[in-house]
Parts: sequence; structure tokens; C-alpha cells
Amino acid sequence: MPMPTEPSAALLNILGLTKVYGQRTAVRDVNLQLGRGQTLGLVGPSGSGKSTLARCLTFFEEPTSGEIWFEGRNLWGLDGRERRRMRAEIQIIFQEPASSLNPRFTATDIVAEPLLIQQRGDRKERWERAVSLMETVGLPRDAAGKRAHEFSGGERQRLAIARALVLDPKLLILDEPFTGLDQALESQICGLLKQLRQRLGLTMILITHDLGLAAEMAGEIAVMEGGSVVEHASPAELFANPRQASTRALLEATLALAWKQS
Amino acid sequence: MKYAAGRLLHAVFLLFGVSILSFLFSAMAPGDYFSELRLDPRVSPETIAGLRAQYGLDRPLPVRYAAWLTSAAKGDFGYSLAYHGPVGPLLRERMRGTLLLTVTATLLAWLLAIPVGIWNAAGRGTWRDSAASLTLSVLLSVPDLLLALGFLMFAVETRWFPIGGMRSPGWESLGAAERVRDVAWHMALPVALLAMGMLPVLIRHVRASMVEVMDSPFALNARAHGIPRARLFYRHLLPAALNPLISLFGFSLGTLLSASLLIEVVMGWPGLGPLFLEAIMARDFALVLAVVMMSATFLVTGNLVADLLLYRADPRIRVR
Amino acid sequence: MRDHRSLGWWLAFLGLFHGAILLAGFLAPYHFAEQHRDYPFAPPTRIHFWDQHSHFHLRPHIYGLEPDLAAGAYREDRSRAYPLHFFLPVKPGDAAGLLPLDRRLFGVEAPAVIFLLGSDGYGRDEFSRVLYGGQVSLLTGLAASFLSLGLGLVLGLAAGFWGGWADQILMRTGELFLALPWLYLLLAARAFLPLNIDPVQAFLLLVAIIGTVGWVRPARLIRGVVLSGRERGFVLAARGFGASGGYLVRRHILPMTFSVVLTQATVLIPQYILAEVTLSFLGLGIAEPVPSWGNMLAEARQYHILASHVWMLAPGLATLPILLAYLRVADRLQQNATP
Repeated sequence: MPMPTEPSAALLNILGLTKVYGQRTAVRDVNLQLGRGQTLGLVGPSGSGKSTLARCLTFFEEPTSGEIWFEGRNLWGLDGRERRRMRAEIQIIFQEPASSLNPRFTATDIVAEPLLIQQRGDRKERWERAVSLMETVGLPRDAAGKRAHEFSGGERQRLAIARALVLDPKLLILDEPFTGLDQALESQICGLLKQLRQRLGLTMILITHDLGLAAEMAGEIAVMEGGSVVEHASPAELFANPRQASTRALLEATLALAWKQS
Repeated sequence: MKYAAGRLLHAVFLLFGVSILSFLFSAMAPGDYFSELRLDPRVSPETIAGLRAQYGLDRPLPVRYAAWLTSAAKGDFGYSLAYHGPVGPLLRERMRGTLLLTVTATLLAWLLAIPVGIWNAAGRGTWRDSAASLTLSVLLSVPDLLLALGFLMFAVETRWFPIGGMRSPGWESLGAAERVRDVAWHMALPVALLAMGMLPVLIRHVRASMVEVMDSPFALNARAHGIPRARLFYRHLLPAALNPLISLFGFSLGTLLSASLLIEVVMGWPGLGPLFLEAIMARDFALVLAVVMMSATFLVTGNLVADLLLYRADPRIRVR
Repeated sequence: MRDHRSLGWWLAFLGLFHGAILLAGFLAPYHFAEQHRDYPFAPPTRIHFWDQHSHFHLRPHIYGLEPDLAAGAYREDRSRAYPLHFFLPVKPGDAAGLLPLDRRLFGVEAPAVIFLLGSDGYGRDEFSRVLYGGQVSLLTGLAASFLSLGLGLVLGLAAGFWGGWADQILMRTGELFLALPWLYLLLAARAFLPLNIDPVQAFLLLVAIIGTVGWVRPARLIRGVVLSGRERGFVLAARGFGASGGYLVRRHILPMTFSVVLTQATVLIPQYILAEVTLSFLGLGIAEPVPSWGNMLAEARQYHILASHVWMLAPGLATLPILLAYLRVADRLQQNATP
């Protein structure tokens, strides 16, 4: 597998990661590296292990074997306090914006919640930061007091993004962030993410089944199937020379979609 | 079969648990049957201690529990200090009374609730539905106690029904048919009371189940086929609505037994209720314990039967 | 929308009813233990606006009672009319109940007596006793519900959130409690406690027993809410930010339980009021001289009294409107919860 960056500059280093659930191996000996400021597209059909990998990165699942090194530290070797601090550095945006936001909470409650949990700043400071991030993601200031259920799907996703950024994470993972959003909204949010990436120097992992989206957003793409990374290349190389059958299948699916839409 | 065995075992364990807890509590209770005696200055503490030893009240707990278990296995259930005899026969006699009352009332209530519930379900959405709903709510809010006192008043005023007891004096000399009639006459008011207490909830549930079934595709299908209304309801829809009703039977058993306790006491029907009350007042813990176990056995057994019926009736449960 | 309007009416009615009971000290013309030995089992006093000369008076009046031995009842003594007085000062030492006030709404001059709902065997005013008795019965019901719900909340949260053996213990213990019919369970619990206790002890005991014995259903319902709630996306997200269990329960899961707790309250309160009434009726609850609807009905149990003195059923009849109101409110809440 080609290593696009030098090991010493890597922000994230995944070595031999494996996760087994009883009989089923969800993630099988995965090796990946990600440099600062880069975006990795993690592509594959459902059940290929992408989400499980993401969960291992964000402390939701403990790996069966292998290591995850982030900023030179072994994620799963940290004690409670350090882990808590590390949680602020790696943030994830979940699949369904609707369910990841408490419908009863106001917009500022939601965005400021990580600050509250990590006990940063007082009430006023938290509110200020929340509102400023809301503006960053393109939500009006006067929507601050609205309850989550009053927002549309696209707006909710913006809220989720704002919330994910409030702790100044180094790594942002997006797990199928555009399910349930139409094409127009998707491109809007894509544009927003690109802006943010540039402004904040974010490192991102984009998990999706849509190869075209990955090509658009990511500098390199890793294709997963059956728990393993079967191909790892830049988008251009991938489109020109898809080596695996699964990659080709994904490519066809994407092209078919593009054809239908034109 | 495995399911049934599993549930049965579970029921037995449950009853054991109840017996242990109750025994523990009865042992921890302040005072006992001889508390009244202690207040009498003429009775010396030694006499009381002697009495307690005589009835084995001073032995260690596990020993007493084991003794109680063996007594229960023999059918004696310990010794009643108030009645000066084994608890078993007392229990059996009163148990018959309660069973007679509750079974008759349940049958009556269900027999009435099903047609009324169906009639109610058929008339849904009309004004008579809201009227019926309000009426049922009002009936539901009438406490059994009040109803019982009302019936008592009615019995005293009209003298159409006897007050208290299961049989008239001289019952043994009556012929078989006369005997039955006599008991039925004594039973009429308590049964009516118990059934009336159950009806509102039953009717509501029958209605709800029927309405649910009425809206299902297979019901609409049947109607489209032009099946006449009565047959539609009774032969096609009712069987489908049975499951929640079987569950309801299981749930309402506890309330049934509790209602029966109160009604027996107020109307003077010789069942477990009045026995329980006397035992409590006299602090005759052997008797209290026995009645507690009896009522628990009734409830647990009833629930077991309902569970098994449900299991047979609903194939979906079997998949688990 | 129609549902919300009728819910409002029933809630208002409940508020009014509870308020009236709370104001027993103001609304009742007599202390609950005040006896008028000359007038046992007097029928409800008739209030007149027109005097014997058919003149109308704005201030109503009553007549004195004369025992009519022939009829075995009472007759109005029209020789003297006693007008009703309002906002009377309360005699010192006569104030009683939960909210002792210093004025009474209405009353009449001695030796006349005003028994709106008749009197009992000791000549005590039933109307006053129904009000004061209501304080006992309603307070017991409310306090016991509070206890049950509190217990159910704590235990249900613990079992649902932490699961594992805590959950198992809870479920098994709950089964034990549910193995007995509720009245048998209540009586058994009462049986193992001292029988002769003073009214305050009796009240606390009743609240403790009724409240403790009924924890199972609320706990199970809350456990259900917690089980489904802790898997919700935003709870997992908060966990991802490093939230502790305590935070999750406090900020996210607890609010989920509110509607269940509310509906359970409307179901439990009337049940527990009835439980107190039943226990006191059977002689195992609040005892004389403190009135409760239950022990007042016990007097009515001697059926020869009941037949000729129907007003003795008043405490039982008082339960009807309140039970109905709670039932309707509970129904509406259920309907609103499941659209």
C-alpha cells in the first residue's frame, strides 16, 4: 500500500487494527496513516467495517488487537483522565442528525454541551462560543433559542458539525453525514466542510458508500470490504485503475448515479 | 412442554421466595399472639415464656421454617393459636368459599362483558360511544367498598337476600337441589358485587381489542365478503381479539382477589378475607402466613395458566 | 384540541376539590371531634330562605331540632329561627387540621346545630368530618404516591441505566411483590407491624406501607424508558464527549421519564386514596378520634344504622368525584401520550 505521507508527520497511525465480535470479524488487520490537514475517504458497502473502525477511533469500541496512535500517543493505553482529554481531540458526526440531537434542547444547549461536559468556561463564555460557531456553520444568530425539533434536516446537520467543532478537535470523523439529505443540501454542506477545513486546518475522515463524494472531498481514498482495506490510492488513481472488483462495483454505482442525474 | 416446565419451576421458586420473606417478616414482627396476655398483670412472664416454648416460638428461625415447611407439606400449615387447631382445615374451607365466589363472578362478568364490549365496539365513533365511555368511567370510579355498602343497605331494606354466611341454618337437612338454591341465594349479592366491579375494565378492554381487530386487513376482507355482522364479530373477530384478553385475565387476577377480600368482609361471606382479618387482629401469625401463601398460590397459579394459554394461543411467542 | 380543553376542566375540578379539602378549617362549621350528644344521627339540616310567614330573607336560616320519639327521628322546632352567620371567628383551641385558620365560613348560634350532611352516633357533624377526613385520606394518597414514584424512579433508573445484576435483582424482587394480590400484600405488611398506635404514627405507617408496597409498576415503566433512552443518538454523542453516567442521567435520561411519572401519578393517587380508605375501614389504618373517610365508613358498616341514616355514606360518596376526576385526567394523559 502506498504511504502518502512520511510517518513522522502522521497525525493518526492505525496499526494492525482488528475487531472481532464472537464469530464475526468486523475489522481485519487494518493499517492506515493520516497526516495533518489531510482528508481520508473511507469507502465501502454496508457491513464492510467502516463504522466499526470509526467507533474504535472514538472510544466507543475497544479493539481486539492492534494499536491506534494519535499525535504520538497510544489511544487505548490512556488512563481515564487522559482519555477524557483525548475525546476532545477526536470528534465524530453521526449518521442521522435527527437522532444525535436531543429534540428538547435548544441550539445553543446542543452546541455548547461538549464545553459543559468538559467543564470549559462559564455559562456566558459557553453561550458566546456556541453562537459564534453557529454563525460559522451558517446558522443565524437568532436561531440560538430554537429547539432542535424546529430545525430542518440540513440545519440539524450544521448544528451537529458546530457541536463537533466546539472543542477544537484535531480530527473530525464524519460517518455517512449526508443520509437523508437531498443533493442540493449535500453540496451545500460539502462546501461548508471544505471551508471549515481550510479555515481551521481540520484533519478529516469521511466515511461513505458514495465514491464520487469521497473523490470530491478526500485527498486519498481507502476502500474497505469485509473488514479489510483492499485498496488505498488517490482519487485520480482509483478512477483510472481500479484494482479490486469491489472498487469497480463502487465506481459503477457512482457513475450510474451521475449518468442518471445528467 | 419445555416452556410449561420452565414456567412451572419459576412459579414454584416464586412461591418459595414469598414463603421465606413472609416467614422472616412474621418472625421480625413486634409482638405476637401473646401480646394481649402480656398486658394482663395477672399473667406472669414465665407463663408466657412457657406458652411460647410450648408452641415452639422460641426456636431458631431456620428450624421454625423447616418445621413450617413440613407442616405445609402435610397439609396442616402450622398451628393456629386463635382457633386452637391446625391451620389446614380452616384454610381449605375458606378457600372453597373464595374460589366459589371468584370463579362464579368471573364467569358472569366475562359472559356479560363480551357482548357488551362487542356492541360498544360496533357502535364506535357515534355519540353513544362517548356516552358509554363516560358511563364506564363513572362506574369505574365507584369504589367496591361503597358499592358493597350500598348493596348491604339494599339487602337490609328489601330483605330479598340474606346478609352474611354461605348457608342457612339447617342446610344439611335440605335436598340437593334445595341446597344449591340456598347457597346461590346467599351468593347472589357478593357475586353481583364482584362482577360489577370487574365489568367496566373488562368491557373497556373487550372494546379496545375488538376495535383493533376490526381495523385489521383480514377483518375488512371478511366484511367485503359480506359475512353477516353477528357471525363476523363472534366467529371471526373475537378469536383474534382473544390474546390481549387472556393477558388481561392474568393481570386482573390480583385485583379480583383483592376485591373479593373486601367484599367477603363487608358482606359476611365465609372466604379467605374474613379469616385473614381475624388472624391479623389476633396476631395469629401461623394463620396470617397460611392465608398469604394461599393468596399467592392462587395468583401465581392463575398467572401460570394465563401464560400457558397465551403460549398455546399465540404462535408468535413460541418462536422465542 | 377537544381533548386538551376537557383535560383543563378536570384538572381545574381536581384543584378545586383539593383546595376545598385543604381549607377544611375554614369551610367546616365544627371541629371534627366536637360532639353534640343531644343530637345523635340527626338528618341533614334544612336551610330556609322563606320564613314561616312566606317572607324571603337573603340570609338563610335554620330551625332547632326536636327529637320526635314516635317517629324515631327529629322534627323542626319552628318556634325560633336561627340565622346563618358568616366568617365567624374560631374559638381558641378549636382550630384543627392541616391549615388551621382563624375564621369559619359559616355557622349558627348555640344551641342550634347546622349539620349539612347530618350527624353520626355521637352527634358529630358529618360535613365537618368529611372535610377533615378528606385531609387525612387525600394526604395519605398523595404522600404514598410520592413515595412510590420516588422509589420507582430511583430503582428504575438504577436498573435501566446500569443493568447487569442490579437489574436482575430488581426484576426478581419486583416479581415477589407482585406475587400477592395488592390488598393481601398491604394487609400482610400491616399485620407485621404494631396494631395499637397513635394517629400520627398510623398516618406515617400507612404512607410508608402503601408507598413502599407499590414501587414495582412505576419502577418497571421507568426502567423501560431508561433502557430505550440510553441508546438514543444524543446520549451516545454526549458519552462521546466524555460525559459521566451521572451527567447523562441528569441531563438527558431523567427528563425522558417525566411524562411516565406524571401519568403514573394520576393512576396511583386515586388507588392509594382508596387503599387508605380500605385499611382504615378494616380497622388497620387511622383510628378515632382522627377522622378519615375509611374509619367513618366503618361506622356505617352496622347495617341497621345505614338503612335509616343514609347520610352516613357521605364519606364514601365524597370519593366518587375525586376518583372520577383522576380517572378522566389519567385517560386524557394516556390519549395524549399515544397519538
